[in-house]
Amino acid sequence: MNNVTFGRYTPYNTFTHKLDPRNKLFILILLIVAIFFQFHVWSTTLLLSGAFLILFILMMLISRVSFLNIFKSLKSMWFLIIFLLVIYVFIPNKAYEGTPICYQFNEHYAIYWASFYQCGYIILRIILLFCLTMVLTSTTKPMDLTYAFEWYMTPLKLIRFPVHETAMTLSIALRFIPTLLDETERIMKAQESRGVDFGRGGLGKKFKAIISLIIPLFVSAIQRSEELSDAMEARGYDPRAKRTKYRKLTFGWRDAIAILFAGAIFGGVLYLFILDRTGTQIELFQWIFKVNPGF
Amino acid sequence: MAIQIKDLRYVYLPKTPNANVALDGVTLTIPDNAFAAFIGRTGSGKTTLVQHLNALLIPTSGELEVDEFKIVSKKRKNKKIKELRKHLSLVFQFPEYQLFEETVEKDVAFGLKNFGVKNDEAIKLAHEALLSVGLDEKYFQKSPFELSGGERRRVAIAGILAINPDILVLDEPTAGLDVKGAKDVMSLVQKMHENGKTIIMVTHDMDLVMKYCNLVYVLKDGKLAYQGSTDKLFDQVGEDSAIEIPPLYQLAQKLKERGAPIQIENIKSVDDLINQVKGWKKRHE
Amino acid sequence: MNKIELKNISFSYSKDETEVVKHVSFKVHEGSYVSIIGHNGSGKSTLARLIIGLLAPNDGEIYIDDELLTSKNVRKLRQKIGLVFQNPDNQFIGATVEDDIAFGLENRRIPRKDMQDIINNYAKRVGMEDFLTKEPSRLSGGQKQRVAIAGALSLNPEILILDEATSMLDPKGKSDIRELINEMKKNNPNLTILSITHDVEEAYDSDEVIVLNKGEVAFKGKPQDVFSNRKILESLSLEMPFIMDLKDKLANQDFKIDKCQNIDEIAEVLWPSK
Repeated sequence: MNNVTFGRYTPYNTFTHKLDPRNKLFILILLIVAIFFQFHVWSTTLLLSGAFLILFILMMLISRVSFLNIFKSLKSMWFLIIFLLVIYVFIPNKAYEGTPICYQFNEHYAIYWASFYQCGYIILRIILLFCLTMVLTSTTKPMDLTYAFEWYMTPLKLIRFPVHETAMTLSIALRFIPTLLDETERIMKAQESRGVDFGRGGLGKKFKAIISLIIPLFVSAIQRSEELSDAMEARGYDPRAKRTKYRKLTFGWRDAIAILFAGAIFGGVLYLFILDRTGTQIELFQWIFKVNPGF
Repeated sequence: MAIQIKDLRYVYLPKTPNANVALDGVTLTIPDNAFAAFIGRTGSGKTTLVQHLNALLIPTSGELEVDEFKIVSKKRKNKKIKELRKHLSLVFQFPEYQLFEETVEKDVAFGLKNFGVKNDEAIKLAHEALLSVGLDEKYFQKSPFELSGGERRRVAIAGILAINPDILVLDEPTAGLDVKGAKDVMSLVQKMHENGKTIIMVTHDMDLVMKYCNLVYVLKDGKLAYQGSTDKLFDQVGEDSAIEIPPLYQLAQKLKERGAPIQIENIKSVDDLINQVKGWKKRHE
Repeated sequence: MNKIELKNISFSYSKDETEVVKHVSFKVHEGSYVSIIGHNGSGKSTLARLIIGLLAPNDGEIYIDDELLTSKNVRKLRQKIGLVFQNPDNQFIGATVEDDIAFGLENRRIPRKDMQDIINNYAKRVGMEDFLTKEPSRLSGGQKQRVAIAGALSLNPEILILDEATSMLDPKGKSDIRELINEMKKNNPNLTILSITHDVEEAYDSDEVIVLNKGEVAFKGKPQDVFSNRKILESLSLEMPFIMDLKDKLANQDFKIDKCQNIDEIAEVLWPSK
């Protein structure tokens, strides 16, 4: 399937590719939290978001993530953006009262500049989120991600959560995604040879077309799963038994650098945030302005 | 000429790190009423090539002509694709996996209805097609999922035959079948050829090629390594080879290397070889 | 010593259906290579599943190493058996070649420090040492089957069962696996191999052939004997292996080819080099 390229793992060998997936997952969560801090002074929030955007672009460059993908995925999001604009700009919100007005319809209803800012900020955050997850998924094999998940979920074994089974199911599902995609493509082509048109046709025709794809796909998936369980059993797999592990995730010097760097950024933003919440006005824009009058 | 392919090039996943050139400048022609075979190792591009023939794949560059239909690299410029697919039908490898209707007759009629044949007429043609592949009334109302593998394959082939295409393309029609099943399918295909259809077959089985086909195209790493009659194939395709040479022809080649007066182009079976070596015994004495 | 013994085995998938395996009995000796052949639907794949205990017979007894196979000792006895199935895709469990070979080792609780050597060793034996980090979607069918064989062998089985392991492969894949089996036999004479196949050429390599027809043993013996009778083969819709067919027809022309083992020797008889 040629069109499933969004966030797909790309087999390069960059700094980011070599990081421990557990570490990458942790850094991802740290940075996501960091971009969601909001400050009382909006110019500060905006400035920090801009800084994050530059940082993430750098990360994407280092990890050789394709920018084209980002634009493609944004293109498919235009509907969401319009939706957000409508929600934020046209639905009255008491919080904006008293802020500069963009357009006054009548004495009860006005559109505020602040609502545009708010909406733009949301969209910016979505873009930031996109960039981050893209860096993670295109530099980490899905299977490594399951190992990382399994590692983080280990404490859940205490409450008898089937951690191992979940991870095994997940990894087998991931292992078979390419196989099933190939199969889907093959069945689609076979049905197209029989005159099925997956793109056009009325509702009834489309329904039939989908059925002609889904049923063979299910039949073969069920057969596959039966054969797979036989093969696993034949090689001595017992979900209840203890197993040793071949894969060992290792935390290296690159990971130390990455986590220190991410930690520093997070710490800095968190410090500013605490100051902000304890009453200090963080005028980041003016601080920089004072230090550097030519800005 | 039924089919003309000019400088066909196809790249899987272009512009990604996984980009893979499957076909690299293939030019060939296939005449009307041919019984042609595409051979080559796994990954040589033969399946990719035949999927261009009814526009399931669109060339990255180059063009194809299938009788009055033309396929070019610009997707939107290709019109009448449905008519093309009625004219040239493709039977996939392991076609039994494409069955989905609740009865055999409905599944065979499915393709016909997609091409605009009315229901009653489609069922009637479906019955004819099923009879022609050797499945009688007993099977019409059965669910395809309760049949054996060989029977399911015949249902799938009937589904294509019912469409009555002028050109029939089969990808590995005998894969996974035993000797008897393979024979049944091949005699069916041969009957289609005798009825005036052009047959194009993708296969690994050299015995089938030598027995049934009159033209052969060898692909190697996405390029055409040989096109011509089956007679000269083993003379021209050397050792480094794009194909596995069957033991019969290995023996014939060895005899030729030894200087024996053997005509490889006349050998189609073990018996042909025996006929040629018959007199040698006396010569040795 | 008998490695596998079947005594009067019968099996049907449900009570109302006809039996797909009927009163089958045979013995497989330690270190021998036995082929079970038959056309599609002859019950040969069911037989493989019975021997490894994935199915239980309605009637009869199966002995592995002279021990009766029961639901209680099936896991223990299965440790002696390595199984390679037909579909290369559906038995590839790991994300990469090394992970797939490791899967069985993990189940056997082999310590991690030993795994790497075992994996490298068996990958090398099947000629896949350069593909350790490759994913299954980047391998050919034949390569995947070689990985499956490595995975089975890495657990040191006493018996290796190949259930139509080559039927979905191209000629190159087929001949690679055939060579691999013959090599395995040479390097490990104690390994018992049971191959279920419909390829007569492959069966020709084995020490003994058991022909299955409609769930019953139709014929068994040395491949030279089983495959020598054209009429019987035809009635079972099987072909004669190429080399036997050729030798048979050449013998009719008074060529002395009895001792010939391969094509080169036959060529020498047909056109002697001076």
